[in-house]
Amino acid sequence: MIYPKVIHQITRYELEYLLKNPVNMFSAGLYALVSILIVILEGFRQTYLGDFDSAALELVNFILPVFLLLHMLFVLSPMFAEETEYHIWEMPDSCNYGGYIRRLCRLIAVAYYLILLNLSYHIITAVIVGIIQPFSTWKEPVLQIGGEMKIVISWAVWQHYLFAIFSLFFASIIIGAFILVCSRKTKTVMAACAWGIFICLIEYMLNRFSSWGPLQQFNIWQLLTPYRFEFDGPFYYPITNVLVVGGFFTVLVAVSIWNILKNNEPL
Amino acid sequence: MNMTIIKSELYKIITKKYLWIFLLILSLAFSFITLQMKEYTSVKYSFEPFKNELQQAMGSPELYKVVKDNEYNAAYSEIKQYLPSSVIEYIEKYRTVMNDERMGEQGTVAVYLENNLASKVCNYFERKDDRINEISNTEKKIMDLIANGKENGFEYLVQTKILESFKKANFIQLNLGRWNQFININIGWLIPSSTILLILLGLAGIYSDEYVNKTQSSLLTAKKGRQGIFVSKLVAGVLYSFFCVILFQIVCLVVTGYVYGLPYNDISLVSLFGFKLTPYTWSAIEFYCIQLGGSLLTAFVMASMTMFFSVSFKSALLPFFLSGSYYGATFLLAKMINFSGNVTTLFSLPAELSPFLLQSMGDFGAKGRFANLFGLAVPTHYLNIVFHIFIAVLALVFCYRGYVRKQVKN
Repeated sequence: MIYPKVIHQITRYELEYLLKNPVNMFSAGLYALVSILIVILEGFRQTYLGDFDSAALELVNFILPVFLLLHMLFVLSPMFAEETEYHIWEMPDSCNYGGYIRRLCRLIAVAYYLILLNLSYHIITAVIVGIIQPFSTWKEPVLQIGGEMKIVISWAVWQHYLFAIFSLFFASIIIGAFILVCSRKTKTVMAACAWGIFICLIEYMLNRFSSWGPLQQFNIWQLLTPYRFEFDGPFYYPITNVLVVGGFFTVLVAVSIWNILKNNEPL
Repeated sequence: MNMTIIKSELYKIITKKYLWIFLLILSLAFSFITLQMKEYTSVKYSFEPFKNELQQAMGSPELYKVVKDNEYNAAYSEIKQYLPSSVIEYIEKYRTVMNDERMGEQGTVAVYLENNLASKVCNYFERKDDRINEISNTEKKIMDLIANGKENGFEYLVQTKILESFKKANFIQLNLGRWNQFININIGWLIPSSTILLILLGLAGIYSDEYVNKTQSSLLTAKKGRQGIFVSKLVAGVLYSFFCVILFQIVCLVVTGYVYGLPYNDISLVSLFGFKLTPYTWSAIEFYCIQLGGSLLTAFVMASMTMFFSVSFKSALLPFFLSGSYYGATFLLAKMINFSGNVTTLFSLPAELSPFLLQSMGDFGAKGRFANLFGLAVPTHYLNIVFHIFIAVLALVFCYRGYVRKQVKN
């Protein structure tokens, strides 16, 4: 019988391993720097983004998703592949509680990590925007995001932001699961990372160039650019769109988790 | 340097299966996107065979007057009498041929060709007039600067250079060919960024994989010496990166040539869409070659940078992350920037010194950009070239020093 305490201990160890990765500080620091430049420097903003309604929404729809995606790719791809690369994959499998518990704890740790990751990026955004722009801007209605004037839902900035948090969290769970499968199935960290990038690139190209609607709409990049759900989703209402697209990917995430947990040896 | 070592280094790089799968699928993706265009009427029918007759007809002052009176929006019926009979006969041949409805196109091919030709003719005159207006605007700006006593300022220097270039530049010709599609291979983001992705994936582990494979100590004590290994790895890395650039370019040229047909006649750059205000006297083929040269230089720079990071870390992931971050961040800036005016500012500099803009020179080519270098107006793309050559040399020097000073550890 496996005690919850054991699972808790191994999960904590795995979470510590994830949190110690230098990419965390590097990526979050760079994001903070870029956000500050965009919010503070009028010249920088005019040069790169033009005029917009809300700095928070521009960041959460265009800058934060890119950082989040790359961050996950570089931190999660060594999760299983590193052990195979260093020829020590038998060690976790032969630990006291077996490979299954170890893998389960890793998945739980990754789930915690994704929550922390999302939280930290949103806190950075909120703090930077909060310090520089007055609080009242969060209550203003939104007329455009990224120059798109098709915004049909009459939400205030904070409502749009809340929606973006929801959508990006769905996206990070899905992408996290895909990267972990890549990590489990490949022999080297680079190959895992390469496959992760490859999946995201193909999804981006389908989202951008496919002339078939469902390929564009049931796409990770729709979840990563939440504002697009307001005028380019399978249904009219953005929350329904996130739930439908997220629900579609839930099946794939479930298959990925099953694939990670089953007792298969590396190739 | 030793051919056997170079061969074995190249072998280590190209035996990574995922690189080939990437190459195949990215080529298929480009082919899929481009091949979708083949059935469009605009691609199937071209006026290029009538280039000379049409260009001659453009010399008619009456035709220019009709177009100008219609505010560059003249209908085919209004300009028909000035067009060569061979072109009219060519259009009439398709009077009963219908457009392909699967491509979302309605009506007959002849109506499409009429509208297309009218728009090309109007666009030709509009572009010529825009350029003339731009020249007079530049002259006016210079006069204003002199009137305000700013003839020693940087803006004056830039505007004078641009005016000189405008006067030297080629004439605008009627753009009936496919050069825009060939130029766009490198102006778009897909091919330049895919090439660099493939280079980074292949080279991130060139030194760091030796740790993982436990061959580092043997290589450091090899008979050929550390310098020999360094030079062999460098040659293999550069060969691989050039191979990536050339292979992608060949695939794109073949696919684009198959879909749009090969452009047999060269044309001045100023005649291509998007380049009406270019201050350069290049032709389309020269511009394509310049972009190709820029792609090779970027490949060399990114290969050098990745090798430097690879010699500094024991995992291939970090070199990939750092080089990828550099390319990716500057790529994003270059895609986001709003190029306004001709002067490079402190804010726009990070984007304008992007290696991506060496591969894709559409923005530099379309509009001259100048940076203030100790009071001299230097074209920003020259600055970009020098900056990246410096980065590559620096990376290689540190890579060399890092490798030859390594300690042999078990």
